[in-house]
Formats: sequence, structure tokens, C-alpha cells
Amino acid sequence: MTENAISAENLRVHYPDFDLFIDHFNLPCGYVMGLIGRNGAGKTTLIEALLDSTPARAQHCALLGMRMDQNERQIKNQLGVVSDRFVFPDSYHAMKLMHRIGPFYDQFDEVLYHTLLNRFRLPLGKPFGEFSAGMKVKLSIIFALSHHPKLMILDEPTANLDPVSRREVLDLLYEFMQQEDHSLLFSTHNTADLDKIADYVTCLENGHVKFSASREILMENWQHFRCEGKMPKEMKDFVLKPKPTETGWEGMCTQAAQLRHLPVVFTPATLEEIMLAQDLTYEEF
Amino acid sequence: MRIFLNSSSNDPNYLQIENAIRSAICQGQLRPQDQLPSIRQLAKQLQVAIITVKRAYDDLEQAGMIETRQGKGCFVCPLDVQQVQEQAGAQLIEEFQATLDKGLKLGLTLPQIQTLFDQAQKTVIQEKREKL
Repeated sequence: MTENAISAENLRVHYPDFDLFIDHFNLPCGYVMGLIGRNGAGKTTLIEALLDSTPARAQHCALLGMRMDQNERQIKNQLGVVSDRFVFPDSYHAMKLMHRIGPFYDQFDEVLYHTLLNRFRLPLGKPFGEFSAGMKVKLSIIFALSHHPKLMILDEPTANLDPVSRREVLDLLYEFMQQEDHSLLFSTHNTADLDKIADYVTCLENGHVKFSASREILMENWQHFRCEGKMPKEMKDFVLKPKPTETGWEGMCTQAAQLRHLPVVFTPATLEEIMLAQDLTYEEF
Repeated sequence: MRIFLNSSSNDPNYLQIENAIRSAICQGQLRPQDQLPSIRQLAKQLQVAIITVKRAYDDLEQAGMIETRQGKGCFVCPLDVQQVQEQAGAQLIEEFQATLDKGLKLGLTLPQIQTLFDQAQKTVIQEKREKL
């Protein structure tokens, strides 16, 4: 078994108005990584570079332990991709999709495809072009899952989904992750819902990795703090956006795990609050 | 065994899972040789990350409460009663010390605190009897 489902080193993409430069990017096999960052931070570009669908240079870049330029067919047989940039022809309905595109995969599972279509109550005879945005996403995910991939890469899978559908998709992804050799990479703005499933979180900013860590460690260290009176000296270097309150200080601490002994109250923060806190262009939060 | 995660608790999820399994083992809801749900099943059931459940299981394994059998899953280990009692004792003594400290700070004397402790003991025993 390969150690990393995705591994990339010194990955560069150059556009006239944008540069992506990623030192390291690794997704261990069997885990889920969430990719976050502002619009234009490079999330989609990174995904496209990994998929070899945009010109990129890299010292090393492998999916499932194989290189796209050498084992494209093997990789694509074990890879499921969902993105609003890789869509199906508008005139295709679910059945035509299965008959025309399914055979490109060595192990397209028609029974699984039908089961999932039923479960999500998707129409069989309606052309893809007439689907709502949410239905398009669901069909894309179902189609991607139906050839039994080992690695799923999803670009903004939950962007157009209502809360119930989002939960359904989340359940589907949890089911996919029941196999120990399955891995998942997804980008999202919707940190509140899908971040439940993420084992690792990578945040991009201006084409660079801002931080990349296991979510457990991130959540343990990045916490809200509140203290009475003066802020303890030991924590001054690890504080973002401190704000005076009537009796003391509050803000975000970046090393809470090591500072528990201080007379400071720490409370857990959400991923969204962490993103807002470390974005210095955004003052109020 | 059912685990409930309290999202408003300050305890991280992995610790809540760990404590729930630990107390299920100590109270006999989970018996030696019982199989635990797989890491991935429990993650799905609780809607948390796989790594969160893995951390809880790793900690329990280190404490000698569960064991992983390659390819078969996780199982409850035979309970070392003495070890469990020692761990529980260490935790309790810390809580007693904190309580004592609090009482002294509020101006109570040691004998007064002792009386309160005896009262609490009676109440707990009473409640247990009523339940039976």
C-alpha cells in the first residue's frame, strides 16, 4: 500500500496574473483533507495541477503512488473527480451517461450507480443541462463513486447544496471512507458542515500554503482566549487580534495547548473563526 | 454502547470518546473480548473525523484498555481492576484536593468540611437505595 494518496513537492503553476507555489502537499492514504482559502487563493488551480489538467512543473507529483504522465489510465481508473469545471454534456441524461461514459472505466458498477440514483431520487431521463446546480453535483458525485475509485477529489462539492442534501452527501462520503485504503481531498468554503469529516486541513493564501495540519492539532492550539487584567507575558507572542474588554483582553491564541497552565479561559474555535482570525485584512470578528 | 458528543463541552471530541469508552468498560457495559466498532464506523456514526476516533483508540490502547488485532478490529482487554482503581483514585484525589482548597478559601474549617463530606456520602447512598 502506498503511504500517500497524494504527494507533491515544489509544485509550480504560472499564470500571467497568478503564481501557485506549493512546497509540500501530502495526503496520507486512508484520510480526508479539506482545502480551504479565500476566492482566488489557488484551491482549484492546485486541484487542476494535481490532475495534470493545467500546465504545471513539479519536482515530484504522484497520485496513489503513480505519476500522471506515466500511468494516466491506471490512475484515472481509481480516481473520482467532481468539479464544476469537469461537467457532462448538457444533452446527456443519467442513463446515456452510464452507457456512453461508463465504459471508459474498467470497473463501472451499473448496479451501484442505479442504487445511488434511487437513493438521491435523481431522474433517469432528464438531460443534465436541465438539472439544478445541486442535482448536477449529486449526479457528478454518484457517477464518480460508481467506478469504485480509491481517491476522490472534489472541488467545492457542497457549494450549491441545501442543508439536507449536504448531510446526504456527507453521509455518502463517510460511506466511501469506510474502506481503509480510500482517501478524499475536497475544497470548500462551507467550513461549518463538511469540516466535520476532514482529518487534515490545508489553507491556501495567494498561491502558497498558509497552514497545513491535522485538524485535531489545529483545534487544540487555535482557541479563543479571555483573561482578566493584564495579558500573561508568556502568551503575547501567540496572540492574534487581541481586543481589550471591560476587564481584560480577548482574542485568538495560536498555541493554547502549551498555555493551559495560565490563568486564561480558553474556548474552542470553529474552522471559520480560525480562518477569519488569521486573515489580517479582516479586522472585526 | 452509545456515545454522545457534547459540542458545547470544552473537552475535545477525542477525549469525550475516550472517556465514554473508558467508563463503559469500567461499568461493565463493555466486557473483555467485546469488539469495539471500527474506527471508520464510529467516525461515521458520530460525524467526526477518522483521525479523532483513531486518537481516542490509540490512547485507550496505550492505557492497556483495548487492543488492536491486525485485520480483525479492536477488542476490550481483560480489565486490570487494580490498575483501573489506581487511575480512578489518582483522579479522585485531585478532585478532593481542589474541593478542599475551595472550602478553605471560603473560610470553612477542616472539621466542617468533613461534616459536609459525610452528608454528601449519606445523600449518595440514599439515592442509590431509592434507585434499587
